[in-house]
Amino acid sequence: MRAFQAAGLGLLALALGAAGPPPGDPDWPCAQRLVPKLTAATIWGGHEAAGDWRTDPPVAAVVAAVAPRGVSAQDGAGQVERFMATLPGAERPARSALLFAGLVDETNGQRAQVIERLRATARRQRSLTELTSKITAELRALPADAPAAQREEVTSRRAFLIREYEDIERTIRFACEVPVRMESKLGALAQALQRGLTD
Amino acid sequence: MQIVRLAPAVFGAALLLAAPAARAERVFVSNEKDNTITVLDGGTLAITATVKVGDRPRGIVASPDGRSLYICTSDSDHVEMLDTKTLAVTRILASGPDPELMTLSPDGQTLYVANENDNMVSVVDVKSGRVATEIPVGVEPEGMGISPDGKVLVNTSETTSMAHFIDTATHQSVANVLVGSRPRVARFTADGRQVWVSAEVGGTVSVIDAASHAVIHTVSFAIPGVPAESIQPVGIAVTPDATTAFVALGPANRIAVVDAKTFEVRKYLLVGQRVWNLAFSLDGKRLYATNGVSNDLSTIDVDGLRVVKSVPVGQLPWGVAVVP
Repeated sequence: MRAFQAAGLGLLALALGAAGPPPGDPDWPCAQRLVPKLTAATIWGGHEAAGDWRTDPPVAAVVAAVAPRGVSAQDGAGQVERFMATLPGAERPARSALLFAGLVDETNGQRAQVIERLRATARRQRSLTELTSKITAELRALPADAPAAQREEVTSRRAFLIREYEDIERTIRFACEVPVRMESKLGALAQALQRGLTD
Repeated sequence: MQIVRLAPAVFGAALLLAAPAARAERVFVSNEKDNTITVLDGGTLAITATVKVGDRPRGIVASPDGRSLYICTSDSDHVEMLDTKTLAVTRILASGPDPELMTLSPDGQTLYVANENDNMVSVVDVKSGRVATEIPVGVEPEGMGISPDGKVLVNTSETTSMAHFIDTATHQSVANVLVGSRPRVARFTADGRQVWVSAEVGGTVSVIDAASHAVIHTVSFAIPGVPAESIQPVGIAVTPDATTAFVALGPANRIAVVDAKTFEVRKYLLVGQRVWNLAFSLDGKRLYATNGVSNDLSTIDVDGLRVVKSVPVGQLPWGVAVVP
């Protein structure tokens, strides 16, 4: 009995997590506070540019080539710099602004999907915690003379849930880095644009 | 319509706008992901060494004489002491589990270490390298600040959103001050009269009167075009004359410049991504800032209030300390 009480406490500790989610957002499992949407102004400052990047086909083509998650920050930065080099100097500020707007939009679209998957994972963890608590109560309620097979069946169900919880918990730490990597890539692309403006 | 703001070269670029001045100092940066310490020359900001240390180095603090650097190697569950001349880890100090941030007594004899996972502050005797005692504090202890006379320790607890004032002679808590959500860093002003506490989720900085323990002002931040969720105050540095405070705002990628007398925000400086912790140069003319996502170190001209240069360091730079 003491053993599974200890395991239950361990599970609760995992659920609360030493580097757990920020208060007030039970569906966000990462240590860092959720930033739902990135904005251009978060990464750049200075004069304004306006327009819809989708109406500029060459810009839209670079966005389509660079934004996908499979394209590394380094490769993306190279493509951005090459595109900037093709532009006359006078066009660079406005069109780099359009390009960055497209990259922010696409990154936000990708991040939103990742964020939703992380939220779903957090909800699954919560449900596993609740299920484990119920089975723990079921196990405790078994009479001392309950058949061994029945005790074993309940214990086995409980162990399965704990294993699933712990497996997911291990993956969350890495999954939480995905939105950060996207943000990092966007920063690298911003730097590439900046180099294109100053070259 | 989408509006994008573009800047002249500021963000993240390795720009040198001023000739490097001769600076007899070195800058140490802990890289949480690489398990290394990057050492930079204070004059040129060139990397002079990269030192392998224990797992997940985060909080770092230099001894008063600058000969030693103490490193919280969180996943190794101890504090390492680096000889700043030979760049060798010469001692391992006990710290309690998961040390994240620490502060050193002004005489250099006692380390106070926040143990995030067991709700304790470990009091480490530097000479013996052992934990002399543990002080129970709030849930998830984090920030550690010490008064200039060494008599008062301030520890923040992330989950309880409090700053705990602790008498270092008795190790008893003398006041618990409610601050913003998820407090991170606590800094005394050089005159010991105020404690500034950042709240990462609350998005504020509480200024606490050190004598009465009253919150005398709460500094808020707003940046056009930047979502409120991105404004996550962490690092704090107050100039020795207590006229200006710098607050690192995390994923807002800005350092706020705050008038420490009126508490008005004077300016936001655009730096690298997820700006985290701050340290002044020895002459107080530069401010160094670690950027955890763009993996670089920004330097700020304190008088001119401008970003002078950003240089790449290791992966996930976290803490920063300056030694002669």
